[in-house]
Amino acid sequence: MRKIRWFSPNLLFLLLIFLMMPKKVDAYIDPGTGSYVFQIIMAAILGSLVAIRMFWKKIIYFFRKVFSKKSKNDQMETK
Amino acid sequence: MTKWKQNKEEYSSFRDPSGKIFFHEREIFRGINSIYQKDYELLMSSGLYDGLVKAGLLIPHAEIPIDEFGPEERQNFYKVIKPKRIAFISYPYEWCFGQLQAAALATLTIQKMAMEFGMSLKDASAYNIQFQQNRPVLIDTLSFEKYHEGRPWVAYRQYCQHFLAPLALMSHTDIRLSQLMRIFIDGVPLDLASSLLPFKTKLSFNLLSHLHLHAKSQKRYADKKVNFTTRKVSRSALIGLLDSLESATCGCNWRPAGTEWADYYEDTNYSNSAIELKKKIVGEFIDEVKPKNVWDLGANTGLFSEVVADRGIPCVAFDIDPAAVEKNYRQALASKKLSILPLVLDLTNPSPAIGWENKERKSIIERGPADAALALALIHHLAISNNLPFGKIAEFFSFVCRTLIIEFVPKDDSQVSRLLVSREDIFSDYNQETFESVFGRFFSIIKAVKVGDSKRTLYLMRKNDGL
Repeated sequence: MRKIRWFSPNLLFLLLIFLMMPKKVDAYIDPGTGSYVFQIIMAAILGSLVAIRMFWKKIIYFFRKVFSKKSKNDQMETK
Repeated sequence: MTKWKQNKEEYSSFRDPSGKIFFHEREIFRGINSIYQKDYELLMSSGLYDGLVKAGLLIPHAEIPIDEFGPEERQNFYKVIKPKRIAFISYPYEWCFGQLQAAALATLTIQKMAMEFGMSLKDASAYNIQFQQNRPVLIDTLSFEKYHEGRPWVAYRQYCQHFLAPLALMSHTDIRLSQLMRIFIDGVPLDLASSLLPFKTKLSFNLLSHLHLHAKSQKRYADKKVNFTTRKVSRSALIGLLDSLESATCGCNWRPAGTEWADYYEDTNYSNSAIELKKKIVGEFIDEVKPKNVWDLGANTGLFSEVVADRGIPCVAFDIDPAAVEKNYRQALASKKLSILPLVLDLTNPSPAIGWENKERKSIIERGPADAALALALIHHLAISNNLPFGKIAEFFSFVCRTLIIEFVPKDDSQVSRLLVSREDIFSDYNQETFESVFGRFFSIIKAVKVGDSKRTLYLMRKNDGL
């Protein structure tokens, strides 16, 4: 998986959420609910990162096509 | 029904509503409750069972007609299966780093494969994995359920606590923290792991999320009502989650070096010829006894376990040093000596029975005795470093084996002199005559061979009858 910078906007947002809502409850009482909620958040983030990656690939592919067309036109003009 | 349970049921099986492990005429069986019928049939018909067994990830089993059992089994179970027996049961707090990592990655691979066949793991407990031919294999055949798209992975928390947290702790804090698995029966609590891990682990997206933030989330939502039905986790998001866990698991690394025993064979004055001679004598003893299995106590990197393995005999190689066990594990895999199972064990404080009623996980003595045990270059560490009288040592060995191959290291040996350098010599009984007479109370000495020019002696002893 591509390395994600820790100060990425997603992460800061997540950190902010958790930091703003401190609560002291011992996790042994019920660790299941927290894990459940967290997994949903994580899966959403990871799923969206995968989608963004696919989206970026499309953009880069699009630009590559545009630039290669441009250079082909330049070549044809100089000839 | 209670009486049957007491006599036959494998105790640790009580938590599983899908079925029960039981013993019948010294063979192991798994009874499947009718509540699990649909999932079991899906496991078998979907191709998942065949795929996993072929990949060596799931223990194979045979279906036994229920008529072959008594009325109690027929009443309790809809079907009985006979899984292939694991040669030696080991627990995650006995595994070295490499073994725990292999078990973790196997669990994720199994989950991914399960999803391809429309199923999912109900739990990701490290106790569902055992080592067969030194490779991790899932033994809980009833751990699969039908995969419902949209539902999150119910085993996520357990994976983080049983696998990711201890691996991160062993990798970033201290290798000895695998022992936390012994204290916490359901894996390392994430808030504890989070507080023990160094700050640099918060700079890694994967560890930050699955351990630190996960721990905070557990605290935040503990005892809170959450609407379970409206949440959704798509299949691709779940695959992304599994990939992220795999990345986090692979990202944990540990090199076996720098501990007390890791470089033992380089540091001692063992010449090559002395080692070869010792190997030859041990080999001859093994050939004479022809044991069905061997425990190598204080095996270090498994130099002499190899002598056993070369004869096709399964050998469990115990050592106190995680680095030595890790080296043994890697070498055994590389040289394909798969009948060696290296494990971490402190003989002066061996694995106890733990869990509910202290019966869920067995002590090391309960998992024996072995047909034969090797105790090479060990006696002086127990008797002198650990101040154990010969009688206690001999008695312990009589609990764990039927035949003993033991090396007596006399006081004027260089290794023992080293131990006595900074210690008052209160060991007036530490001599060969006393050794032979005390051990003679528990064992009969069959052979005693001097190891070449050294002052050491190798003994072949058999446990006395009636003990």
